Amino acid sequence: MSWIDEVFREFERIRKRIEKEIDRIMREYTTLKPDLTPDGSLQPLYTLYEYSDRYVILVDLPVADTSTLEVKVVDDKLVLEARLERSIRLGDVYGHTIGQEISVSRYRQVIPLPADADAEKTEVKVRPTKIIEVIIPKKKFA
Amino acid sequence: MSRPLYEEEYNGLVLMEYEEYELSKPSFLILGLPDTGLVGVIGVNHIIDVLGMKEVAGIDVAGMMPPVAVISNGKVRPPLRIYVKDNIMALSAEAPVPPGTVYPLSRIIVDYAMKRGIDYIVSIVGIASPNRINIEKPRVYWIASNDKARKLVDGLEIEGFMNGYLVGPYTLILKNAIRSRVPNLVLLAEAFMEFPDPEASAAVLGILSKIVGKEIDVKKLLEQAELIRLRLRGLMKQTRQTMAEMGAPSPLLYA
Repeated sequence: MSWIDEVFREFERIRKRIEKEIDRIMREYTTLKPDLTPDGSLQPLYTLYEYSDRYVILVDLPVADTSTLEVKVVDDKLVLEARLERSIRLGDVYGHTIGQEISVSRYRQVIPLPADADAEKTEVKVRPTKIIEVIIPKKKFA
Repeated sequence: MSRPLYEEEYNGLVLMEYEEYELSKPSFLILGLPDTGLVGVIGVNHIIDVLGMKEVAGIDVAGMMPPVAVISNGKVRPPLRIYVKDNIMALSAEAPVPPGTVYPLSRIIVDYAMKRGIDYIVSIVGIASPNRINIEKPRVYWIASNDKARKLVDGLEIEGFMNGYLVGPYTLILKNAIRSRVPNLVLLAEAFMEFPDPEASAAVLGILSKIVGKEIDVKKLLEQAELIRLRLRGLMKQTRQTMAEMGAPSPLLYA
C-alpha cells in the first residue's frame, strides 16, 4: 500500500468523524423535544453562551419558586430543578380544551455541558426576574 | 375563518377581510411578528387587549407546511390576524413566519397598507443584547424608511440604530416599504435573544403610545409578565428554530 492510499484513508476517517459529529449536533438542535417530560415537569428554555474563559447558561424560570432551585452536575450534564410557586393547569395557561386538567408543578432541565467546562467550579446566580445564571469556568490546560 | 367579504391571493398567501371598516387619520399599522424575544408578538397582543380591538381580517398561508390550523372558540383562524380600532391597525401572528414565506408576506403587508391608505407602518422588533440580564430597563432604538417616518420620533428621547444588523421578516418589510415609499418606522428594544421578553415589549409600548397619541397602559403586561413568559415558551422555541433555518446570526456572534 502506497503512502498516498494511507493519506486518503486517513482523510476518509476524518471525514466520517466530522459527518458523525455534524449529525449529532443537528439532532441535538433540531429535534423538538417535548415540553413536558413524562413525570409531568416543564422543560424551561435555556441559552448557552461561550466566552473565552467561561460558559454562561441562562435559564428562564417564570413562576418558579426560586428558593427550591437545585442545580447539580451529573457526569457531563447539568441537572436543574425547581418547583413552581403554585401548581398550574395547562388549560388555564394555554386555553386548550385537550389536556386542560393536566397540572404542572415543577421545572426540570438536563443540559449537556461542553467537554472543557470545569463543572466543579459552577456558580449559580438567581436574578429577581427568575432568570437563572449558571457560570462555569473553562478548564485551564497548562 | 368565516367566508370573507374580500379576498386576494399573492404567491401562496391569502389575505381575507371579514368585515368592512374605516380607520381614522393618521393611521398606523403596527406589526407583531415573532422574532427575538417575541417583543413584537407580546407588544401587539397587549395593544389588542387593552384597546379592545376588533378582528377584521387575516392572512393565511394557503399551502402551509406543516399543515396546522389554529382553532379558537371552535373556529378555524388564520395564523396572521388583523385587528382595528380608531386609527390603529394591528397585525398579530400565532406562528413563526416560514422562511419561504417571508418575502411574499412582506409584499402583501406593504401592498395592503397602501391599499387601505395606512399612513405609517410601525414594526416592533427585539434586538439581541448579550448583556440583557444586567439591564433593568431595555433601551429602544429606531430605524426609519424615510423622512416622514423619521419625523415620528422627533422630540422623543430615543436613539437611532446607526450600525448593526436587522434580521428576520421585518428586514424585507422595511426594504419593500422603502421601495414603495411607505413610511416604516422600526422600533427595536434590547431583548433576550431566546426568551420571551415582556419588559422589552413594555419599553417599546411606552414610546409607541406617544407616537400614536394613545394611552397604552402596560401595568397589566408587567404584572402578567411571568405568565406570558410561561405561555410563550412553545412559540419562542419554534421561532428560534425558524430563525436558525433563515441563518440568522446566533447570539454567540454578539458576545
